[in-house]
Amino acid sequence: MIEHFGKHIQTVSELTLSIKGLLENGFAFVTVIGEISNLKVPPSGHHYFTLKDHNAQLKAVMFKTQQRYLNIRAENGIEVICRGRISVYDARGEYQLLVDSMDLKGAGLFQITFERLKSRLADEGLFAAAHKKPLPLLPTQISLITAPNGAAVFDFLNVAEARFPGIPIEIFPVRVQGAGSADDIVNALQLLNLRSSSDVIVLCRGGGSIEDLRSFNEEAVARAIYASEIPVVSAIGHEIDFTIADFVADVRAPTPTAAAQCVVPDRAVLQNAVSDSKQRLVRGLDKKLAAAGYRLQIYRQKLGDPSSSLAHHLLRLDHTITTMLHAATNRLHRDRLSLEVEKSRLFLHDPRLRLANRLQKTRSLHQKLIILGKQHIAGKISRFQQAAALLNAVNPLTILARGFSITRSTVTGQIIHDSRKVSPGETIDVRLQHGVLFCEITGKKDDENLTDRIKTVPE
Amino acid sequence: MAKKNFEEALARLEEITKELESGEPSLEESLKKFDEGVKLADFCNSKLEEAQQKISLLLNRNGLITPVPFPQDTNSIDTDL
Repeated sequence: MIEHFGKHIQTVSELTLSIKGLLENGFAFVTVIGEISNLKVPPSGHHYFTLKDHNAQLKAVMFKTQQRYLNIRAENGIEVICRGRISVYDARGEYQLLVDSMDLKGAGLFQITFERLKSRLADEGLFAAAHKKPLPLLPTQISLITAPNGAAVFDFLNVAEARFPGIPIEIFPVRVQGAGSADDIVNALQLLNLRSSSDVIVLCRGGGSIEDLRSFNEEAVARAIYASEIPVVSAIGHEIDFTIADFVADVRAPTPTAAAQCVVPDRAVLQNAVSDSKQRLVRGLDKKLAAAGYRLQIYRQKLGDPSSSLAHHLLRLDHTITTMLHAATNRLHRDRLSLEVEKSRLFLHDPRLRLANRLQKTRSLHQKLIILGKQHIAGKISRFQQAAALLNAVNPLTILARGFSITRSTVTGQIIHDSRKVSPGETIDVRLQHGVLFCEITGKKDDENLTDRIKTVPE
Repeated sequence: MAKKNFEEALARLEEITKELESGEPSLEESLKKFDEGVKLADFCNSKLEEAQQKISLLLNRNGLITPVPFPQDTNSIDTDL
């Protein structure tokens, strides 16, 4: 048995080196499935853990730099498939698996929560096509919610610049992974909506592991996107990555570059569209004018020589006017006559005329009345004068004035008409025009009746 | 037309163009539409020309968004984000 051993005595280092060579060459690409246990993450950020199954254990390490490719978060108790290589750690004489990548075995926990949230939000209608808002054709302000130092921003800006130089873009800086990133994104969406001066929002992040994209799978972010009045375009991760945010967003772009292509219009295309429309406008009008010109031409031909036609029309017009005038004059004359008749008939009944008649009558009656009145009064006056003259004639005083006197008996006071009624010696009063004589009758002579004579005197 | 945005103006321009091409409106109407169309096209062109490079970074100061010029330093790009 002894001769099987070599004569050469190796040091531990030499032997370990040989083993290292054998293992590391022989197990350079391994895929191993096991459950994570004893996970330790020192400040260096590297992951140290043990992969185990029922019968065996394998030490494993995953360096920090590899973790970015991880779609899952390493946790004790989860069963994972690791790809990597075996490495020997000389100092401790231990071998371990250096993990390059790690996946959950089967549908992992993440997948389950993702699907559950997705179907719940879908049921609620957060992904409904009816709720999706159209993007503006020419945005006046594009707001990017993203990490300001990410490659995604520059991809977006480069494409935007190429498509439409100078289109206004603003960047709302947020954390796009790790603690607080979901809050940042929600806050950014809310603030932009509050300010309300952008017309499209792009939620943008470069590629990463499922774990990196975790905040885009959070319900709060989904609800903030849904609540946004401003249309939201999502551009998260690589083409194959679908997050909840992608489903809620109004438009899902597979990459930041694609997002720029769908948000930023190609200026040349728009300019072409405008100038094309303008050209068609001009052509349309030209066609219209040409058609109108053609029709005009046809009418012109139909009209023939416009001057002769004009003369013809003038003659016809003249004739027509003459005929019309003639007819009109005849008719006018007739009408005028009947009008006159009617007018005179009308005048007969002119109320002014009747009024004048009445007035005339009234005036003559009035005149007559005055004359009659005057005659009447004159008659009365004359009769009065006669009566007055008569009265005057019989007035005793008048008689006295003519030298007559009235004789009364002094005793009886009676007027003495007859000398026989008195006797001499009696006293009598003789009334003269002026004064009274008291006389005594000294004699008398009974004489003829003077009264009869007087009576024969005509009035 | 004063407050019209680019999209509405372009849509109206296309509508007018189609109408004019259809030859339906009268000559007088066509002239009117043509005039409007040319104005719309000029408006659209001015909108396409007026944009200037305006990339800004929004700073959130106590909930108040303040834009500042965006520093485009390509050296600091983190290809992961």
